[in-house]
Amino acid sequence: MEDIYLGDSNLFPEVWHSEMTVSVTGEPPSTVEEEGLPKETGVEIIPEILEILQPLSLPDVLRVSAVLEDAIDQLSILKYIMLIQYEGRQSISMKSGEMNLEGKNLHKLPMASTITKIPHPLIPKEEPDLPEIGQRGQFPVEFNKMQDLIFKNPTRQTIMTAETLKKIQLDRQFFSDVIADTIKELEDSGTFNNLLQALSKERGKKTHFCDVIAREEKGRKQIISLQKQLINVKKEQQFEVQSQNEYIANLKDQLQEMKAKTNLENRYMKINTELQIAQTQKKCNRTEELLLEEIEKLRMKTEEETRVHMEIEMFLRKEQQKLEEKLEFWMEKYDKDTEMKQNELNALKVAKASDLAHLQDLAKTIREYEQIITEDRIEKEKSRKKVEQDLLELKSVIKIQAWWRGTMIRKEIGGFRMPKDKVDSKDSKGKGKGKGRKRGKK
Amino acid sequence: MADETDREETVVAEFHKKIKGAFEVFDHESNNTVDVREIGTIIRSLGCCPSEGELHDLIAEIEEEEPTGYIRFEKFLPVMTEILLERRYRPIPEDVLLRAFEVLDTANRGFLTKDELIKYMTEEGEPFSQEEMEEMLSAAIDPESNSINYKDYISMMVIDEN
Repeated sequence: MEDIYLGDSNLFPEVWHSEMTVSVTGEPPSTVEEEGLPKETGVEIIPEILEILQPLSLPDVLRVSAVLEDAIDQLSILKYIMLIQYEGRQSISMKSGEMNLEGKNLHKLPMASTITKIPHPLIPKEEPDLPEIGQRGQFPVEFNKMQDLIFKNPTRQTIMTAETLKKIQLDRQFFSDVIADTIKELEDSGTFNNLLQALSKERGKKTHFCDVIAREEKGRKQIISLQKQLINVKKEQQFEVQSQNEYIANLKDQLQEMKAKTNLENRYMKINTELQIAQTQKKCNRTEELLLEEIEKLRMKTEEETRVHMEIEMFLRKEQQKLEEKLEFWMEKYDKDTEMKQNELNALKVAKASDLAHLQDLAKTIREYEQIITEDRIEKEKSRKKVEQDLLELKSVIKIQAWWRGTMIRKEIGGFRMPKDKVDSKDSKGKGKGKGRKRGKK
Repeated sequence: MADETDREETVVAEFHKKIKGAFEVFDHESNNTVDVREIGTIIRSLGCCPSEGELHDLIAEIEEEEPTGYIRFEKFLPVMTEILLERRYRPIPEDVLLRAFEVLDTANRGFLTKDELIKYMTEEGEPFSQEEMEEMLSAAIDPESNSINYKDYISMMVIDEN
């Protein structure tokens, strides 16, 4: 038992899948088994239903309804059996009776499968678990497996059955309802449309279920791929973290170095500063001493200067007194001299004025004299010119007179005649004229 | 030289002849003497124009040491020949005469009035006699303006002479 449990627990993750399939697949046997009976009867009917959905003939109706009623009965019986079985399993882990029952149950399955196998070509559309039919090839194998599982893992079976039974009960209820409705319909109208409707509905549900499964599988694959991706991402992250860590370490190293350096620098700076301070202090001390000496010197000098200043002041006072006296003297003298000089100046001014007047008089006289002289000169010039003119006139007159006298005689103008012309008149005229002229002249 | 001396001699001979001719006109007694007063006329008739002053000097030269009032031909001939050879007392040329008149025409009018001319000729220098003055005026005065245009007058008289 424990071993089995252990094995079970070990197997669990792997089996989970198959269990699901089992739970799903585990169902059909019962249904198949339950339906097996009506199907056996319905083998001949189905073609009619398919071909003509006309109301069945009364005998057929009766037959079918009888079968259906029988099915309901069986289902109700099954209901109770299953309840007991379940309770029994609950109370005791495993009962041989139950085992047998189960065995019976299971033993029925091959039969049912054989049954279903035979009408296979005719049934398909009537079967509510049509998709299961496609799996029928696998079915026996699975069934065997299940059997094995059931036997190997009875505990697991019990745990599973709690849910499975519930489902089976629900299915059974549903099936019995459907059959009841069909019977009713058959009784009323002789048709079994209700059954067909239920069938199609179930088929739809089945396909939907298959889709869900497929989707789930896809989802699983996706999850795996995503997990892979996640792993990759994790790896990358890890790698990154590592590099970051390295970098951090590097930075830490640097920080350490920097700290060391800073410490060194700090120490150096401190020492340096101290030294500088010391130096500056020394310098300051020296300078202070020098300055003090200088102050002393300057004080000495100041004292000397003060003394000298006093002396000089005294001296200068004396000098000033002297100079003031002198100044007074000189002022007096200046006044006196000024007065004297003023007087002199006045006298000189007067003299100058008189001299100026005199000068003007003299200038006037000079001008008068000059005028007189010029007048005289002009007069003299005039007289000279006059004399010259007179002389010239005289000469001119003499010339003209001489010329005229000569001309008169030569041209015999007047009384004179040349002697050659008239010899007889020589004496009287010539002499008379000559004498007359001579007389006039002298 | 011989020709020159010959010509000179002929010229002198001609002068002698002229002088003798002129002298004889006034040698009324034919004793080779003339009155001193006639000398001026003789000289003037020989083509000379001496002034009265020059004439006086000349007479003083040729007169006897003791003035007799007569001039001998022997004395007169050489002096007169020299005068003619030296061409002294030549008639006064036209331009000189014109200048002399211009001197008298102090206002440069180009003419002299009758009164001015009379005044100059009778009161200045060697004054004219009444007769001489009248003769001059009769020849020179333009009766219309009663003045003498001396330029025209001179040119007229000089042309006549030539």
